[in-house]
Amino acid sequence: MYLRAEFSDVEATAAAVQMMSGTGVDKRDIEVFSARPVAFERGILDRSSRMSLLAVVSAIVVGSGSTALMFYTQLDYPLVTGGMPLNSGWATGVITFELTMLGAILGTVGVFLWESGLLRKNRSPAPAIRDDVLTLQVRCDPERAERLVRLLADSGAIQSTRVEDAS
Amino acid sequence: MTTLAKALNGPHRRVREDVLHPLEGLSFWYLASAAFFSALVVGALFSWGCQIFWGIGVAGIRRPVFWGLYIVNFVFWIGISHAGTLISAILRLTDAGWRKPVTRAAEAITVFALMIGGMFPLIHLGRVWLFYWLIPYPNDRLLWPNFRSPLVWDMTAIFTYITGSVLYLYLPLIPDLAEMASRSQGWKSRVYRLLSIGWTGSDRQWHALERAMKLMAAMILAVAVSVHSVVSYDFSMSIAPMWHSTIFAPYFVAGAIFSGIAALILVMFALRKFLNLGRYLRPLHFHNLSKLLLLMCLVWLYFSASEHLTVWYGNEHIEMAVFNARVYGEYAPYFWLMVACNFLIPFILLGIRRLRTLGAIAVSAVAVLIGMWLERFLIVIPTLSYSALPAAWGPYEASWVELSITAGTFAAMALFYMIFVKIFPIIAIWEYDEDVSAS
Repeated sequence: MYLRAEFSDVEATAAAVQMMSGTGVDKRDIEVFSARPVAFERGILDRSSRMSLLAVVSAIVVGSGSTALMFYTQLDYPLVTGGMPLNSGWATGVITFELTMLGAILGTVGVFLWESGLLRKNRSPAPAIRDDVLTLQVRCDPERAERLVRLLADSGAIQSTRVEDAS
Repeated sequence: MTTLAKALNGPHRRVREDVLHPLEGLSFWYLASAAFFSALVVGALFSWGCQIFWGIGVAGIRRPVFWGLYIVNFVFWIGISHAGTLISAILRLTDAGWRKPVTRAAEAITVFALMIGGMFPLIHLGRVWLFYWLIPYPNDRLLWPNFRSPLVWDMTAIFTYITGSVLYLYLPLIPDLAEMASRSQGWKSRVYRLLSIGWTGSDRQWHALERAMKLMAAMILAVAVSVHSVVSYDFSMSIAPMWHSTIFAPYFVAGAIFSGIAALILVMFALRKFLNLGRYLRPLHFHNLSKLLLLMCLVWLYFSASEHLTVWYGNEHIEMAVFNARVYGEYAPYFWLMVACNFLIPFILLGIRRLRTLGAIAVSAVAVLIGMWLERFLIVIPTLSYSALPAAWGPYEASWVELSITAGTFAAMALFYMIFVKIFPIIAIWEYDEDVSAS
């Protein structure tokens, strides 16, 4: 099940997150919903990401794949080059660069979609986006719910509700 | 859409009312302008249809000038595309706070300018139905995949740039689409919800979005610079007079940024005037962009002077034929008009503080757009008219087909923009919200 609590300011939300994690709630089970990005202090609700690494991997894969395609295409369909090399790094370097960048861009967007959970089928329920409150949602066992609701109230929640897990 | 801005409480209500207001209703002037631009676009499509039906001969391109207005327009529109993504990326990477009301307007210019610019190689082909022969893939039809050709480089560069630019425009649009889905009804809500791909506003999504935008900004910056460099290679890789130059790539990139900033200023001026967004597109934004325009005006002068001085000092007779035609001969009126538009007018209007009003900034932007179009014309046409063999010299005269298609592309830009501002908020609500919260 999920607990949902609404907060009017970032500080109270941050305090609630710290209280939750202090009682042993995994930070992966905590989510904060807002109409705009919320800047918590470092260490409160950090989200690790492999976006940069995977963008580089994607760039290398697409860049080297396209270079290999050009290399083998030029061997299979040789042009009359008048003694010039069939494969020229200088002449095909531009295409290699562009497609490497394309790989990086597509890789970034792919990782964005994965890490943000968009397009995933099994997602946690989400509250309606409101521009005047921050909504903190915690996944927890039903037997711990009572205690966590009290903690949320202590940390300044305007109101809290329970949401059953649809799955 | 009338329910979009309703029932909102809190300090962010005003932002939503102002930004979402332009999406409501269609005024008489909007419809009249749309009809006018649509007529020009239909005229351009008719002209293109005539060219497809009767052949490329109806255009003015013929020996020796095989690259006419189509390539001029191609280079011009690819340059304009640098308005958005490049400027937005620079401002995003430097975390310039004033960028927030400007970025989406700029990014939309990039996408539309690339769509229009990307059409010209197809229009230029003549037999457009065979366009896929350009694509270098292994095949059994004895087509030669020539990866050494700068034209193939062009294709990959523009494909990468338009893919990146569309994604760069779309990603920060997702949160606004989700908000619009929740505030509209019926089929509009369903369309917005579909486009928002399940955005819920969780901190995971915001983290991922901000990280992705930072990375994309860095990548798109490199791609944008490379794209106009590659467009310049179309010219500088050939051993033609006044094309074969080592500074062509930075010269083209500087020119593209120059014309891009001018286009952005003009679009912002129109948005401020016609959509009543004066509260968001403030004089500060115009003044900051006008300083960038003034800087690029000087950079443009530096590159142009370097390019012409080197040719003149070298006094090589083949190059001097083109130089003389440009500076003193039949193309001189265009050349000096270009100098006036690209240097004199913006330098005087933007350089003298008392003259730097919003109206003067808009006039400078129009002048720069005219000047940069003329610059593209002067790069493409005189070199082909006065090629290396004097026996092959010949004039160029644009036909009504080319002029109609040229006019249609400017109308298409305006029309695309008018449609965009009626469907999507032209200012990123969530980004502006951050400023409101901070203040």
